[in-house]
Amino acid sequence: MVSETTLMRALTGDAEAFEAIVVWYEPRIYRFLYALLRDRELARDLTQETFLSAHSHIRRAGADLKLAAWLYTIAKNHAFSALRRRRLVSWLPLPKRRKEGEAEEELDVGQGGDLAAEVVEQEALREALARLNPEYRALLLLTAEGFSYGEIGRMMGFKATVVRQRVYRARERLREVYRDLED
Amino acid sequence: MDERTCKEIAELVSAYRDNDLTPEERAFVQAHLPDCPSCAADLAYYEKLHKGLQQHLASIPVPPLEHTESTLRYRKGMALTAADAARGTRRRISPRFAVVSVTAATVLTLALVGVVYLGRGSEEAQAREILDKAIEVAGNPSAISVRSVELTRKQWIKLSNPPYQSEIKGDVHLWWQTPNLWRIESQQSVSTSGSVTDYFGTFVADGKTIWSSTGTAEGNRVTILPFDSPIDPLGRTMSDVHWFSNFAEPGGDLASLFNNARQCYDPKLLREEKVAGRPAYVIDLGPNKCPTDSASYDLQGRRVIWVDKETFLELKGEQYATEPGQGLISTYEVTSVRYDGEIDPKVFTFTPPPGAVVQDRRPVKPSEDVTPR
Repeated sequence: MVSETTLMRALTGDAEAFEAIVVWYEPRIYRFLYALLRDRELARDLTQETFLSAHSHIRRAGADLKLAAWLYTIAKNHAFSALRRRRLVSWLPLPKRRKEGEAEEELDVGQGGDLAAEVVEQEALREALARLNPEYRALLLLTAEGFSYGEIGRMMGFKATVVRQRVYRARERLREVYRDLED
Repeated sequence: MDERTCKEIAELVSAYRDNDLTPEERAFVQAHLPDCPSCAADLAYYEKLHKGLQQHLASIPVPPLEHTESTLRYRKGMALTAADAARGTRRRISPRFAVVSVTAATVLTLALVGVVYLGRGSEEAQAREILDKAIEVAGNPSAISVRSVELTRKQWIKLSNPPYQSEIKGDVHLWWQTPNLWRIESQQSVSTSGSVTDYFGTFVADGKTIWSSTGTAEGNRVTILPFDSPIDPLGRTMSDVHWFSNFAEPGGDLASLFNNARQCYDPKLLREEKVAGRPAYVIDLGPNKCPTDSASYDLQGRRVIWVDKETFLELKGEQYATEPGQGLISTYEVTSVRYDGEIDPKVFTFTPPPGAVVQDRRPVKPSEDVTPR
């Protein structure tokens, strides 16, 4: 975790403290962006954009800055702008099936049924997630990241009660998509 | 409650999973869940989805992130310390998950609380009994790197909070085989204000079905559930809760165990010691820093665990009262353990004994499983 002291130092422009923030959050922000966009290059570029924006704005932030929520908000805004630029805001193409020899490095299916089943489930989840609209996808990912409805509301520009309703709808929509995929 | 009402409150159930309800809404959902199987199923789905998304996020490989010169402006001349680098790679666990892991940490000791509800006869008591019984065995055995386990364990617990005051002594015999075959036989004596009652429990799960049988001198009661039923108030299923190890990770090491334990404790390695012939680390976790919500049992105090050096299975545990000087309030100790031994497949089957009261909660009852009269 990034400590209170590190954050305070970063707020005053301490480069080393900002570096500690980058080290901690960079992989998280990348994964969030990749899960949202399903595009490695774009996720990588926008991760960089996120920290550049954060770097140029952090000194103007108040001492009460909620760092994680703030960084995810920046990342989400970059992602949504990119999607708008690509006119993909309402729908994303289905993820490509992995080609032969292109196995993702984290998946080792040679270990037996358990892992294979898990991989299949993960694959189904990825596919279903990709069929949701970006807003639902972002809501589900931010919830999975452990943010409260209040925090998500501030990130997405909704009231907490609206977040509750939409997280529920997103979950139900995902369930429908799942079922469709099964059929 | 009818199906329609359940649908109307599904939104509340979804928010309940995220712990984002007012106390009143929360109380309403908690009261409603036991009477609404479809709500409980919704909760299980939300929980499963949430975990799946977390796993999905964690499984995304992070490429080396190349930085342009402009990014490197703020990196220039900065060497990271090893500690910083290590911090950077550590898994983030949200506070909410810390609470869940505490709940898991309490499973072994909470397990015994369930029997207190036995024999009260009401539907609610029975539901609690099943849940608690299920929690006793629910687990994610992939936390340890073996394919089968057979063990015997002794346990003792003292409940001081009114109205649950009692002392429970028990013996457990457990068989588990990957991926999800379970059998647990337990015998427990509950002493409450002078009277002693013996309870016998058998819990079998085979990946498709869960059989939970509890009995006293008066008779047996058997409940049959689908394997993926939510088995605790958090809506977790058999595969969601850790049982063999509350802190270790698959293929983990002492460092990752400590990292996980630090969510709610300040663990210290005391020494090494043998338990049931197995070399173990003795880890003093200190008091529990995370809030727990058990009405019947004090879970905030100091806890000491003995962890198998090879498999990270918890071989022994001691739970102390929150108030210093109140002493031990529960212990458990594995008295024999065998890893990777052959287990007769019959161990993982169950037929309700003649005369048992059977409640089959599976959606469709296969004819071959019909209870003998």
